[in-house]
Amino acid sequence: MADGIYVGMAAAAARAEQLDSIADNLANVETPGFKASHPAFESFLPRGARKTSDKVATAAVGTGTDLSRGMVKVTDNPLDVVPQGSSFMAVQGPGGVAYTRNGRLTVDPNGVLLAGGHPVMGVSGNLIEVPLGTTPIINERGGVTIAGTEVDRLALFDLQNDVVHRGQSLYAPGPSGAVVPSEVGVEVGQVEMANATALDATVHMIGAQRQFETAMQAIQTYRRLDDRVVDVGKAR
Amino acid sequence: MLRSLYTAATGMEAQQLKMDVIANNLANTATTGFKRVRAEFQDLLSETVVQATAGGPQGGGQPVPLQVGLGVKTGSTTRAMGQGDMLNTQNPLDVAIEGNGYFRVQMPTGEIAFTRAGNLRVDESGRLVTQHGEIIEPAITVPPETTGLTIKADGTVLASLPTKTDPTELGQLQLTTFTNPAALSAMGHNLFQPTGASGQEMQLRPGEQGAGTLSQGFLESSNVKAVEEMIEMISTQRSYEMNSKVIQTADQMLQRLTSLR
Repeated sequence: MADGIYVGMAAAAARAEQLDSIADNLANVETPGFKASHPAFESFLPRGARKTSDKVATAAVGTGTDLSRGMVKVTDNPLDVVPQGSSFMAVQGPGGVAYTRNGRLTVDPNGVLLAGGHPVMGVSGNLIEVPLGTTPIINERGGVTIAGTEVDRLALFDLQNDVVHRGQSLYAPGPSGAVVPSEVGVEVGQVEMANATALDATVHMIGAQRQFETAMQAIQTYRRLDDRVVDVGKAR
Repeated sequence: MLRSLYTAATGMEAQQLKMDVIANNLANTATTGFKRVRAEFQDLLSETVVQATAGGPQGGGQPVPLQVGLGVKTGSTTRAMGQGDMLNTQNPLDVAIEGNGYFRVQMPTGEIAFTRAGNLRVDESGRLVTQHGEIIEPAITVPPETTGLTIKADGTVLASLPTKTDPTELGQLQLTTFTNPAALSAMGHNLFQPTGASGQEMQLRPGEQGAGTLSQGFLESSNVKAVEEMIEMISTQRSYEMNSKVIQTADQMLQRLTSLR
C-alpha cells in the first residue's frame, strides 16, 4: 500500500484543526478583550521513515495568539476602559494572577472593583476596593478616584513572548513568556472587542476547506493506485 | 467529529440571545425609566491539546501550547445605567431623577422594590403611588383639598391649601442608591428588586452623594438609542450568519470525508 495516503490524512486532520480555531475566533468576535488564536503547523517525517523520504506530513504543534488591538466600541459608560497600547490589566483569575484587556469594570457588593468579573489588581499590589455605595471614576492615567481622590491605580503590564489562553479573555505568560510593567494610561468610555475579524476568518475558512478537499483528493488518488495494484495481482 | 461544529453552535446561540435582548430594548424605547440591557459575552475554556513546557539548556521544550478554544457563552446581561432623555410633561405628579437614585416603593404583597419611573399618581386615600399602584416609601399623603403640589429638587413635597397662604410641607421623597446597581433584578412594571450582588443600599435625600436631584414636570424616558440598537442588530445578524457558515463548511468537509468510500 502506498504510504502517501497517510500524508493526505495528516493534512486533512491539520485542516480540521485549523477550522476549529477559526470557528472559535468567529464565535468570539463580540467577546470583549478576546485575542484571536492561530494554530502553527510543522512538517515532520513519519516515524521510522528513511531520511531521504519524500513523504513529509504536517501537524498542528502550537497556538500563536495574536496580541494586536481589537476594534474599539464607544459605549460612553464611565466604567468601560481600554488600556492604551497593547497593555493588559492584572486581575485575580481563578488560577492565580492573569491578564486581560476586557475593561468592563463593575463593583461587587463588597466594593471590590472587577474587570470582566475578576478582581482587579492595583499598582499598590492589592485588590482595588471602593467605599460601599460609591461609584469610582477612572481617570486617563488609570487612576481609580472616589470624589476626586485617587485611591489606587490599575496595574498595567505588557505580555511578551508566548502567552497561554486561560478562557474568559484571561491570558497568562507561557513558560518562556515575560510580564513587564507598563506606564501607559487608559481610554475611558470605550470597550475593546475581539481582534478577530470576520473577513480574516472567512478567508482562512475558505482556504482550510479547499486544502481539506485537496487532501481528500490525494487520499482518493492513492486509493485508486492501490486498486490498480490489486488489479495487476488479479491479472496474473 | 469536528469541534468547529459545536463551537459555531455556541456562537449562534450567543447571537440569538443577543437578538432577544435587542428586541426587548427596542420594544421599550418609550418606556419610562427603562434602562437598556446589553448582553456580554465570554469565551469558553480552551482545550489544551499540547501543554507548553520549558526547554532545557540546549533548547527544546514546547514554547507555546497547542490550545483550541471551544466557543463563546453569554456571561451576563448588564443594564446600562446612563441617564435617559428628559421628557417635559408639565404634569405636577411626574418626577424625573437626575442621578443614580431609585424611588423605594412597597408592593401590595408588602415586599420592597425600587423604580426610576417617576410618573406618580395619587390613590383613593391620597397616598403617592406609582403608575402601577405601589406605595412610595416613605409614604406621603396628599390632602383632598390641595390646589397645587410642588416637589422641590431636594425631594420636599409642598401642598398649596386653600385655607393657608404658605404652602404646607407634606413630606420628603427619598432616593436609594446601590453599590452595584447593575445587579438589580428586573421584575417588570419598571420595578427592580435588590439581589445579593447589588450590595448595600443607602437611603439618601435627593441631592446627597450622587443620589440625584428631582425635576418636577419631567419624566425620564428610556435610555435606549434606536440607532445603536439597529446597528447592534445588523452586526448580530451577520455574526449569526458567519457562525452558520462555519457549520456549513464543517458539514461539507465531513460530507467530503464520508464520500471517500
